[in-house]
Amino acid sequence: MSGEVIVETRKLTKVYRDFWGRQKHTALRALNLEIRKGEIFGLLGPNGSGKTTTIKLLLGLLFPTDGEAFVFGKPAADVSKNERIGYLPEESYLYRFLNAEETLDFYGRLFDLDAKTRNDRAREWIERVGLGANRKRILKEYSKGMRQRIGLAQAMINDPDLVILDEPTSGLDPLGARWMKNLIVELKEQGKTVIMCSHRLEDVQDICDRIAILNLGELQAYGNVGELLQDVNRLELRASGLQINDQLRRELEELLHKHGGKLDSIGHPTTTLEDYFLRIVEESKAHPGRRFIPQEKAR
Amino acid sequence: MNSMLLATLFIERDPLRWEDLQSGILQWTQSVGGFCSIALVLWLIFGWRRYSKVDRDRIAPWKKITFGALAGSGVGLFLLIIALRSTSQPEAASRQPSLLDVLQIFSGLLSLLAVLFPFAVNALNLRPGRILGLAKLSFQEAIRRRVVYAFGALLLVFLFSSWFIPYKPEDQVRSYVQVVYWAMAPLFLLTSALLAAFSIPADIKNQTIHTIVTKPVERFEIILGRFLGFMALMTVILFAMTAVSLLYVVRGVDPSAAAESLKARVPFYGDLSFLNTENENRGDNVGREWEYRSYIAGPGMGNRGPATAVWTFPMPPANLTSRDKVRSEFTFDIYRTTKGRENRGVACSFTFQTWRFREGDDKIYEREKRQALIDRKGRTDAQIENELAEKFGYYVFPSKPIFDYQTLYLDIPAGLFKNALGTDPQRLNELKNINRPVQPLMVKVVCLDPTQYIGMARYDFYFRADDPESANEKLYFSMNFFKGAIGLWLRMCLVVGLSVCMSTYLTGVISLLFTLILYMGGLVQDFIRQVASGANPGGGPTEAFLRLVRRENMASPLEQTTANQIATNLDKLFRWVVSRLLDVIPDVDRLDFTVFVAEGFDISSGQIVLNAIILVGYLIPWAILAYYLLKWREIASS
Repeated sequence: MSGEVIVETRKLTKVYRDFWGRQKHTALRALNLEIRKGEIFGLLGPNGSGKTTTIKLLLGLLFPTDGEAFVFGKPAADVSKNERIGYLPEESYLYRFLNAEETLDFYGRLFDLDAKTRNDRAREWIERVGLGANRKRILKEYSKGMRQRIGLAQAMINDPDLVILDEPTSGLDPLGARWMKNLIVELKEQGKTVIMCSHRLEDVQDICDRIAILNLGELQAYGNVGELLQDVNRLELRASGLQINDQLRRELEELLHKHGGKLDSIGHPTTTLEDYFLRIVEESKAHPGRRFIPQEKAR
Repeated sequence: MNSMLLATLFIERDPLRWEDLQSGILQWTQSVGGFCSIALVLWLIFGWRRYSKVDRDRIAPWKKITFGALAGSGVGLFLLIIALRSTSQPEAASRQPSLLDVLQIFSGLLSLLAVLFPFAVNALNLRPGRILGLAKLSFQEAIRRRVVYAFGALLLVFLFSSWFIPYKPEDQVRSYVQVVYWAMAPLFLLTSALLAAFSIPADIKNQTIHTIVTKPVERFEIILGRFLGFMALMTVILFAMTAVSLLYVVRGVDPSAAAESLKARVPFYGDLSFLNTENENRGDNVGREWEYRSYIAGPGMGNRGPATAVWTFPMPPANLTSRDKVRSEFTFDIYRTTKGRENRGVACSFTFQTWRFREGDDKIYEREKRQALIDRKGRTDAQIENELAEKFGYYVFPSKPIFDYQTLYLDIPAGLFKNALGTDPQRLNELKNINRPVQPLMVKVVCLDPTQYIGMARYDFYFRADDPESANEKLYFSMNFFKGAIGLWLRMCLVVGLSVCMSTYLTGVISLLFTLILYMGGLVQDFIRQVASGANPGGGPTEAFLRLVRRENMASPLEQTTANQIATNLDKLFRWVVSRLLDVIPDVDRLDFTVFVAEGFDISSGQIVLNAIILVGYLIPWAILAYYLLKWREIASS
């Protein structure tokens, strides 16, 4: 990750007004952010916290009431900056009367790409998002997850340097969500910068380098994920090849007591539900026909 | 000599001419510039302060200076003109523009350039590839939403209209043509307006526009793409429907009606003036409510000498001289003060003369004609007349019976046109010495029946620039039928353009309503113009209200009381507002060429091009407005 700043906001403020210009609602208040090249940046916050407003301001879909936003050093209102941006909205707002190929061709044209590049990239991304078999079906017939995939493909058609993803895993099943997360990491490895909004905190924790937490339009926390989540008052110890027994517990308590600490708990670690689900699905693929039969209760 | 009951073309407004273009452009600059000045004033008051200091600093200095100079001088002059006009006395109507008019045009031009400046700078970023992509999307959208099915309704017309179309040969082609255009126009215009008015609002509502404006797309490209896409689709459909309609007309009409009426005459018109009538520009008024025609009286009515209608033609086209004869056609109205003779027309004489004809030569002409008819030397009457017409630039048809509203014709020797096109320096000098303009060709019509009046308008008499005996008349009619469809195409451009522009700010329904109101305003433009000029009886709304309350006659002059003066001044203000409204209303009537096709008159390419220019001139300010509305619109806050 280099230090080059890709996105910068200075006291970025957005106030929604009514027809008469009276202040109705402050969606964002004096937001200062810096997002650097090659990082995955997460915007977190409850509903109405100003995440999507921030993204819309960065994309020029909204105009700031005060403050400034720069993307690639250009003002957010400058259309030319969009040449290097890929945007996936929260819901895949695409033209439902077009099929996958036509959709990517259309968005490719908006980047003024030549026909060959459009075709090559469309073919590549349709395969990459797993819609090869559905390339001729119109989007109206797609499931929500499939629309999210083609939405991602349209965001990537210009091979952007900055990818803005608003709830990228929304509508995706756990397999799709994992695929999406892997893809985001892959994008980072290719040197691209990713900004993502998500309600799924575990997704953000898994892949984001830095995060900003917003609430009621104000920045509440901002920094490296690892550093923010670190609890310096507690210590985690992991071991393998052991079973819990009283002796072990006693000895550990003594040792920790000797160093001024205290044992809070001891037990076997659990995996996440997501990992468990994925393992089960992978195993079922590896053993077709195998199924789980619940044990009957003893009479 | 056959009489026909066809081809009665009424043209109440003179068709556009290239000579009108210059004054049209100046008037356009003045009106559009005026609106731009008002917009600039409003922007300076409300818009500029919304820019933050950082935004203002970011604008390149050369742009700020250019815009500031243009806007400042334009608005400054505009305000100065308003002040001068409000203090100066109204000037008498004159053909020459006053100094204030010239200043107003100049101020309008400056304001227009100021408004166009950011637009022009931005236009450098437009990319045809993106516009084409958006146009293709609009095309696909309309097709996949099965809009084309709406045009199946035309089938009803093709299937059942023949039940109601009169079978009389003289009316058949006219009725068929009018019915198909009458059916096509609302179908095309309404469908186009619906498509165009709802496209951008639907994109905003469905948020599909978010995935477009977050690409490097200029917002004006969205407007252009939508407009071009819908126009491309409607053009394809219009072409197909016109072809089917033409087939329906050509196959549907009776063969005798087809032979009579499937034509595309190319008329060669002159200017009409009168001799020995009340006014040189108007003939006598016989009290008919419709003042389209003026009348000349028969002999013995009045003491001014024979009332004469005179058509003065410009130099005729050279190709007319390659024929033996040139056809002239005319349709006159008869106003009878006595019953006249049963089943007989009213006789008129027709005299044709060129600029080379000298007063008094008619007697020599008559003498030579009598002599030639005796000493024929194997020549036919037509050949003799042709030779004499070429020699003297003179030809007379002494008596031709005229029937009410029937189109009749006379074949004129082509020698007359050869004479008109010939060179004659001596005659030119003569005319110069007696200070008379060169009038290449004149036709004088005199009513010969006492107690009768003949009514005529400028376009009632014309020469046929085409060959009336051509074997390709059906082909020319077909081509003209397609030209007629260009009129509908132009109206479609108008409706689509307006709808797309409106929809950049308004919702789909409101955009559609606005477009329809403007279009319908265009249909009643003459009435609105009458109201704006105060020509309607009874005065403006306030005066009319006062008269109504006081039960006063509409025609009686108002007394000079304070209340009446207030009412009159309020009406003046109302008329000013209506006059400005006229600048916003499109001239729809001019874009309707149906009557030309139905009556069998060729639609000249010049007429089409001029109308297209007028349309572009009308749409440009709307396009600029749409550009700013969409540029300043927060797409995601809707």
